[in-house]
Amino acid sequence: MNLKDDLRAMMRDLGVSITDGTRYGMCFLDSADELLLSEGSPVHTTGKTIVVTVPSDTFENLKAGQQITVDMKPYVIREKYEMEDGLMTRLLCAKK
Amino acid sequence: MATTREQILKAVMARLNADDKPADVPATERVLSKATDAQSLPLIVLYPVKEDVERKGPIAKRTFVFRVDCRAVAEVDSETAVDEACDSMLDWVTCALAGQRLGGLVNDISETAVEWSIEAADYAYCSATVDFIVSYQTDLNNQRRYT
Repeated sequence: MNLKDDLRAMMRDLGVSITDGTRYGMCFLDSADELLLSEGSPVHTTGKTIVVTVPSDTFENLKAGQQITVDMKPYVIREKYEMEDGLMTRLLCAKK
Repeated sequence: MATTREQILKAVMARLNADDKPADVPATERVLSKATDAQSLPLIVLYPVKEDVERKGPIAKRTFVFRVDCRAVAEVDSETAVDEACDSMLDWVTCALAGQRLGGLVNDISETAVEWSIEAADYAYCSATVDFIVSYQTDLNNQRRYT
């Protein structure tokens, strides 16, 4: 098996569903608390960093501002990055 | 009895939470460390920043800076920009405080700066801070007694 197949196998076992309305597949969803607006301030605000990782060839041409549904919840793509020599695409998302 | 500075902060709080506060502006809180999340916004927090002191004989001339931090949240792709969500809070803060004497506690309250910070995560978060400067005098050896 090559890296691409390994990643897809991991996604099938550990991933969640994703659709952009026309294409369906599996992805990794990671969410972590993040401290925001804290520099020089005693007021701390926490938000969540939401990262969705998808196979690039299944979900090509995704754009910032586009809506997706991950694990049956709606999100909007904020930023998009390629990973693993273009095999995977990482999407920073916000809640919709 | 509290220091004059503490009396000033309490008077500022009372002014910001007065009956004529607009309904869409949240009550101002005064905590030095408060964890907040999207559900607790919008939020206004008052806190002290710095005070310079100049001795003039038996008098301490004090220049005190305090900050009002207005925070709001919006969906990342909302038609309303997240900094716009802070606008009514900023308007009220200036309206309520600029030029006030707080019953004679201070000579004047002047707004000196407004600064925005915006970060995006699960939502777009904005902090708009307004700095105010007040001048007042106390006895040199007694911060509770103002002149």
